Amino acid sequence: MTTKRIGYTSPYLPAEIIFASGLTPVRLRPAESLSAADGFLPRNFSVEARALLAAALENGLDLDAVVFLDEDDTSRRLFDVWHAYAEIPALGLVPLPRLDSETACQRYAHALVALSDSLAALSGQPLTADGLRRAIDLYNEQRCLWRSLRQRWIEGALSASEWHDLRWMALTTDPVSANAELAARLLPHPQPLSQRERGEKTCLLLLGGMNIPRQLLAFIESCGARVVAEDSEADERVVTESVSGPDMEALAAAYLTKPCGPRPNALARRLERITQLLDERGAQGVIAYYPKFADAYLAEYLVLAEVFKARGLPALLLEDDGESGFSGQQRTRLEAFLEVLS
Amino acid sequence: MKLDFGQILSEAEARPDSLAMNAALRLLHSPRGLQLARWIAPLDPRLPAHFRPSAKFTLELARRLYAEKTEHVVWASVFVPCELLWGLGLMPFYPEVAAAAGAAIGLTPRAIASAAEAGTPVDLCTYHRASFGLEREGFYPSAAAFVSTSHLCTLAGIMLAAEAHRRAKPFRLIDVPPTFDSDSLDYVEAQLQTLVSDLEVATGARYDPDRMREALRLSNAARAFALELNALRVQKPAPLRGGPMLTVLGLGLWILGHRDGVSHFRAWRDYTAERVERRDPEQSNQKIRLFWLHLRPYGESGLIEHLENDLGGVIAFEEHNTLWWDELDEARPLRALAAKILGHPSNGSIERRLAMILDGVKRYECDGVVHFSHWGCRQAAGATRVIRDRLRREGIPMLELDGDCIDPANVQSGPLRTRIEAFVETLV
Ligand code: SF4
Repeated sequence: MTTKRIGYTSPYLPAEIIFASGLTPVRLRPAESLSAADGFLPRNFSVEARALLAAALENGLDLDAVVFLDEDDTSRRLFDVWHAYAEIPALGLVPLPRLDSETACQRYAHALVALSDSLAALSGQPLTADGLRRAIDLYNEQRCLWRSLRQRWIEGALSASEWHDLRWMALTTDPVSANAELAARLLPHPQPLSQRERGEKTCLLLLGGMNIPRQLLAFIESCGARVVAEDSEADERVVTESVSGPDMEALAAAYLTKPCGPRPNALARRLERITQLLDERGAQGVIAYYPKFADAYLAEYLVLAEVFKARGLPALLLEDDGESGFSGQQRTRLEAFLEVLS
Repeated sequence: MKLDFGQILSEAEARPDSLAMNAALRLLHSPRGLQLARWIAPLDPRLPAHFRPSAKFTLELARRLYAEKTEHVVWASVFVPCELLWGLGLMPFYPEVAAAAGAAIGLTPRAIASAAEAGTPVDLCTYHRASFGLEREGFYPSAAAFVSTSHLCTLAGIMLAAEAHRRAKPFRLIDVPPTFDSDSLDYVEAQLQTLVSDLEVATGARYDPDRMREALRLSNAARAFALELNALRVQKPAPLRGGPMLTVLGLGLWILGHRDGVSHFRAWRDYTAERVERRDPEQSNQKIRLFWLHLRPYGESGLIEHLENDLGGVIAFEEHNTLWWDELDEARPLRALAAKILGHPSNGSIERRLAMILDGVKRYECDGVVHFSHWGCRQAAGATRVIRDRLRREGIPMLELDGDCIDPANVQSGPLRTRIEAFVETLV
């Protein structure tokens, strides 16, 4: 029996709840084309949001429903427009606290319980304590595999493109199948790059939004550089530390305290995390590949740029306009940047 | 030398980079200059009576922000209720409102250039870009702390947090859920309690329950006059021009909870009542009535004047002059302010805003709706398609004007005038 597929856009949503409700969680990834969203969202609206809507309007998503979180202005307005025009139903706007206090975690746990009722109505399978515990265990197992594979990638035993594909496989597949595939990838022990080989390549921290395109990662490698940390919603900002308890409260707390993206109340935490990534992975330069019109990223970058400057780290900001792919002009800028670094 | 604040500002408008600009800057930072200007401006006989309380308030505010007790200044996003800060004996400073004031006196080009020089991305809302530039240029006061809410204007939170970080000052976020229920009220009220304690530490101010209650009492008194004023605006012909009311509203965000707020709204109520009684509307040429959504260009664009004077479109009412909150409960001030924050019509999904728009169109008997979509404002302009289609289903035409409230260079007056003309033609 095939289970219904539920899309979600935010890394703050625990996939465990969807899976424990008898459904398959599918993290949405912005598509390549935006044009179907024209006339529905303003042209100067986050290109990631426009790309998601475009895919929904073109019926390019094989989904039974989508969950939105009340995360910021962009997610609220995307929800409004999706709700009004897309055929795939939107399951409400889940109140996501922007704080990570104890009360905020409790509130989020309640909101997730309410969401599980809507999910149960779709699947006919109410969420049970056992079901949730099993889902948390499965995802904890996945987190372990994720960390091990990430380490392989950091050591150069996996290419950035391979690592990209594995992550997206895990984010869009049910955890049982995904875990099997991730475990299979751990079995062979390819040789990591030697210290000397690693030393020859420029190490980079890559900052991004929902997704960093595979072609960008491949291009960086083809220029003889290595991405050693990807701070995006598809890698470093995914919950990859084990959830410490078997219930909704533990789940809510783990997701609210995960490494965050640009958030007003968490600037210090975010700077600390980015500095830690720079130090631990030995990054020699930074590339920010941000979706155009995504305010939070662009505004925060002003502060990040000051930090990079203070550390003497070269940094390059590239904006993804969602339309020209990874464009020729961006390639040229990137090549020039990497030349300076090498 | 005699300081003429009005002259300085009008010269500044004509020559943004002139000596006058520098004089304005010096004046802002000079206690004596501001004190003098405070006394001169409201006494100017050319100033109409209904503008005097706000002129007095503005000059007094400027003096206190720039020259006195600067350790009591708190920067806040516009959705943080000013009553809270007045009630704590603090001085709110709203960078976005100040950016609009800067635009009105021609400071935008310098501000935007300065922000660009510092690497501010051009796609960000110009309220924030201009604010960043004005701050860099020394036009903004110092700050002891920074506060924002989470429910509207994501960018404000990030920009204020970043500024707090640069100045090594505390930043606090009020997390506002999209639902209005008693749990959400408890949650926001508890955060306001914590915020009060944090602000006490940051500013040295002390929470005095009587002073907080007094701020709420003043806010309620002002609100009562504002309600009367809004009720008078139902009249046909519309007694007031909406264009200037789109400017006056910025002050409403700042003055509630201050004693001048009461005199400000009383003066406007009296003025409007008099106009209604004399059947002497500010705008004589009134062919169609409009409900205005979001804001307006604050620099020179001539758009609203063209609509009002040449085409006979009267802005009967503006969404941001809607008083969405109930009378504040003086016995439970923080809970009352939590309710005010949570109840904002644009909090959460678009449904509440739509309900407010439909109510407003009906109440003010409007023939159509204009949405001024400010460049870069995702929260207000992100779902205009939904608003337009819903209004269309109700038989209400809507015109969307894309432009910029702050940057006149980003307002394409020609095409916008044509669109307004075509819209008015279909309604007449
Ligand atoms: S116009 Fe919109 S983005 Fe700009 S300050 Fe106002 S609410 Fe924020």
